[in-house]
Formats: sequence, C-alpha cells, structure tokens
Amino acid sequence: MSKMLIVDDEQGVLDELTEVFSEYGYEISTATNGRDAIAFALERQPDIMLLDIRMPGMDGLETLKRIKEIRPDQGVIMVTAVQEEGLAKQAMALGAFDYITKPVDLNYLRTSVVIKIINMFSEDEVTLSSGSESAI
Amino acid sequence: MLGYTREELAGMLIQQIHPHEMPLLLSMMNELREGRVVRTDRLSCLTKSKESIPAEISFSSVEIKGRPFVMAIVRDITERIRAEKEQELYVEHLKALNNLTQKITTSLDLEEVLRYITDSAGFLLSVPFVQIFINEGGYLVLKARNRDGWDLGDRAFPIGKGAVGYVAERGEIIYSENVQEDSIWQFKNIAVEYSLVSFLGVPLLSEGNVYGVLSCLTQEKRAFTKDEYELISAFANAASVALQNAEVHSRLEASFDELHKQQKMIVRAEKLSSLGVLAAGAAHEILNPANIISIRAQRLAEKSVGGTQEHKAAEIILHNVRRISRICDDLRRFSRDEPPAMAPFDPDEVLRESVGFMESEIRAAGVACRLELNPGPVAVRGDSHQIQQVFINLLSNARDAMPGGGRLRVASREIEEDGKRWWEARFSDSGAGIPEDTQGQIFDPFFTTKPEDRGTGLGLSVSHGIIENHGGKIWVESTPGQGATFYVRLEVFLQGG
Repeated sequence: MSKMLIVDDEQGVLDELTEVFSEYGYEISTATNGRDAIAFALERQPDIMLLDIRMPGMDGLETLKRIKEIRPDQGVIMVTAVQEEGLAKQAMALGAFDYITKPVDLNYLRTSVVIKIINMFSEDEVTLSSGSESAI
Repeated sequence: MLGYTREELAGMLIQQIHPHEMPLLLSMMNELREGRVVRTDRLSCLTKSKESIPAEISFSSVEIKGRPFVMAIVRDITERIRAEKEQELYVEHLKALNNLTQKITTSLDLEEVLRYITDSAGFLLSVPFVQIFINEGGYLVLKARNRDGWDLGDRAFPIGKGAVGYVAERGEIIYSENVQEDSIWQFKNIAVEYSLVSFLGVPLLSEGNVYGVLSCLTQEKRAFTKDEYELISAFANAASVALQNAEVHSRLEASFDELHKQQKMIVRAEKLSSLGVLAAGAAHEILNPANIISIRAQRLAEKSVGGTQEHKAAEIILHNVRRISRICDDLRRFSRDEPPAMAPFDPDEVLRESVGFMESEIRAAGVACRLELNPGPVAVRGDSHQIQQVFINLLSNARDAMPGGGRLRVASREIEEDGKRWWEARFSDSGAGIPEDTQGQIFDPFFTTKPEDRGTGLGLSVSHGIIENHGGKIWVESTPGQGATFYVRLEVFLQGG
C-alpha cells in the first residue's frame, strides 16, 4: 500500500483529497503546515507528497527544499492556487515532480501520482505527454 | 489772400468777406466794446473766386486820432489746419495702434491674434486686403486674412520667391505701386482677377529673424506716407511679439494637455496597482473553496450515471467552477507584479504573429483585416509573450466591437517623442466607437460592455498593466460612431536589427 502525505493549510482540502485517495487504497497522513510536513516526511517516509505552496509560517517551497535536503528521492507534487510560471520553475528546480494548480483536475492529479509511484519502481521513466499543465 | 486788390477791398462790407460768420463777428465786437483789447478766433473767408478758406482773425480796439476803431488782422491758416489735421490723424492712428497693440497682446489664442492683426493692419492703413504669412522652416505659409479680404486659397512661398518671399528675404518693408506690372509679383492672373494694384509687404521681425510677413493689397493705386510706414512698422513689431506669445502659449497648452493625460495615466496606474494586490489575494482566497467545490463535483460526476439529475447538477457546478477559475486567472494576470522578462525582440514580428493567430476568428466575424507593418527592423525590450497577450487582447476586443462585421486596420510605425524613439502599434476598428464618458473607464478592472460569459472586464486592465511594466503607453482615441483606435507604444531599444 502506497503512503501519501497531503499538506495544505486548509482542512477542507485535506478532507477532500483524503477521501479521493483513500478510495484508491492509499494510506494517507495529513499536515497543515511546513514543520509538521517535514516531521511526518521523516517519520512516515511517504511514497508521495502533495504539497501546498501558500501556507502560514514556512511556505511550500521552503518545505520542499528542506525535505529534499533530508530525503532527496522524496516524490513531491505541488498543488497550489498560485499559478505563476516563476514559482512553478522554482519548484521543479528544487526537485518537485509536478506542479498542479487549483482547482485541481482529479483525473490529472491521480495520473500524476500514479506515474510518480511507477517511476519509483521502474527503470524506464514514464512522463505525461501533456507536460505539467493542469486543466479541469 | 482773398484775391481782391486793395482798391476793391476798401469799401467792401465785412459780411461780403465772411458771409457765414456774422454772429461770431458781432459777438467779438461786443467783447471789444466791453473793454477787451484783443480778441482772436478762427473763421472762414470767402475769396474773390467764392472759395472758402480757413483764416484766423484778430480784432483789436485801437484809437486813431482819439477816435475808436476796430482793427482786424486776418491770416490764411489753410496750411496750419492741414498740418493740424495730419497731426490729429497721426495721433488717432497712434491711439488706434496703442489700442490694437493692447488687444493683440492680451489675447493668447493664436487664431484670434492672427485675425486681430490682419483686421488691425487693414484698419490702420485703410487697405481692403491683408494677409499674414508665417515662416515655417523657410516657407511662408498663409495663416490668416482680414475679415473682409478675399480668399485667394492656401499659399506658401519659399523665402526669396514671390512678393511675400522677397519681403522676408530683405527683412524690410517692400512697396509695389502696381503688382500687375511688377516682376516681384508671381501670380499675375490673380492680380488681374481681383484687380490688385498696390502692395505693401511688412516683415514681422523677431531678434533679427523674419518671423512672418504682413501682405497689404489695394484695388487702386495707393502710396503710403512716411507716417504710415512708421505706424505699420511699430504695429508689425507688436504683432510679432503677440504672435510669438500666442504661439508659446499654444505650445504650453499642448504640453499641459499632455501632462494632464499622463497624470491621468499615472493615477490610473496607481489605482490599478493597489487593486492588483487586492485582486491577487482575492483570487487565491476564492480558488481554495472553489477547489473543494470542484473536487466534490468531479467525484459526484464520476460516481453518478450520465443523464441523471445528480450528474447534470455536477456538470453545472463544474461549468461554473470553470468560470470562477477563469476569472481568477484574469485577476492573477491583472495583478502580475513580477517584472517582465527583459529580452530584446522584434515587436513587428510579434504583431504579425498575433494577427496570424486571430486572423481566422476575425475573418469569421466578417471583419476585413489589414496589416501595415513598420519597415523596420527594430527591437524593443521586454517579455514578448506578455506583449503578445496585449495584442491578442486588443485584436479580440476589436473583433467583438464589430459584431456585424467591419474593417480592422493594424499598423505600426516608429516615431520620435519626448526625446525618445518609440515603436507604435495602432488598432483601428470601424465599430460603434467608445462614448466619451466611458473612454476613461475602459482600462478600469471589471469594466466591460460584453455579455457575462464573454469577458470579465479585465483584459484591458491586464494589457494596461503589462504595457506599464514595460515602460510603455497604451491609450484609446475614439469618436463615437467612427470606430476606435487603440495605441500601444514601446520604447525602441535597438534600431536596424
């Protein structure tokens, strides 16, 4: 069973995404801030993380940077309402696997998560041909 | 003096010599009788040839051998009266000159000053026709004529050519007794057609340079006196000053207008930028709950069977979440405060590309599109994607402005202004135009005239923000009923590729 850590400062988003991915059999943990996210990432070693960018205190990019320092292979998909090319580039440079904007397209998000997990176990890298664009 | 011989005169009655002056003469006599010694006055005399001449008469009471007599000394003052009249006229003219000078120097309206000058010169010299030519870069261009003058059509003479050009070249008053016979006059046919005869050309001088020429014409042979020369010279000096003042004023007014326009642009830019901060926050706040609604609706749509009420409801919710998302996209673009990526690019290329993108849509709307590009090549600095977004926004606005079809002209050129070189694009549509009272609002966020699902009213705000960030200018000029033209200006970074 794959482990997923969902980080978002809004409980409503956590509830929804937890419900969505529980149905597909993921073991879900949630965090509402960057500090908890880093602690849980170390403690629970999730296969994949969904990480919000705009959060009070430590923001998503800083959280991503620190997690990558500790766990360079950690799979992270940024899920954010901030649609900005500059931020997306920064996140990808820091090692995020994808950058998805809200409102999220569930099909796209699920596909991206699956591809990341497949890539963790397969030799040949799989990528989405549509790039990192999200559209609902 | 009267033409009589001494013999003839002796024995004549005084009323024969001064037939119309008896009341005056009697009252003068009475004064003498009452003790006055000398009494002098002016009166008219009748000469032998029955001609009336002005005279001065001095009565004095004298005694000859103890008997009282009245002695009269009469002087012909024709010459003095003439000189006096001339003097009076001169003073009149000076007064008129003074008045006119005051009048032309108090007005700052160029058109008004030009008219005053021509009317006044006509009045001062009593000539029927006065034109004023102004030196514009070596050409004397007709600017005005007096109210009663004839319209001889637009004219311009190079300095040195024609009577007017000759005056300018010499920088002094030039007189021609009869232009129909004088070689300085170029247009003999006009001289004949309007029976023009005498010409007086007066240069308008300013610090040694010829600022313009006053051309005075008569329809009968006319000489001008020395006084008239002096008068018109003095007047021409005042006229030059007045004209230059008015011109400076009109330039000042133009720059004031420009300043006002720019101030409005700045105020709008500030308003927009504070709105931008608000908009970015709002977009983010809206997107989080919209995200939750969207996830719920997507799951509802996935789980429900197509065609059921639940499925339809989910589809409606998703459709509207998409709208919310689009509005938020616009808001975010509107509030984009990151500086544009500054790289040189060819704006004509981007313009051509943008028109290419939109061409089929524009044509489908029944709009004929014409593209006239600056021969270039030229480069501006900035973010070509953002600039393209602006062009596409303007093109689609133009298309939407002509729902029944029309003409769209897209043109670019290079111009010099404010000491800078600009690349300018114009988007002229043949739509209904923009009412004057909304022209100031169209760059305001959420201002739209389009139906609800066609626009959020942010397109022009976003475009405005992008052009501002590039240090450029964007504005509209429109006469309702005659379409609208949007202008975009970007500073030229490199010329010649």
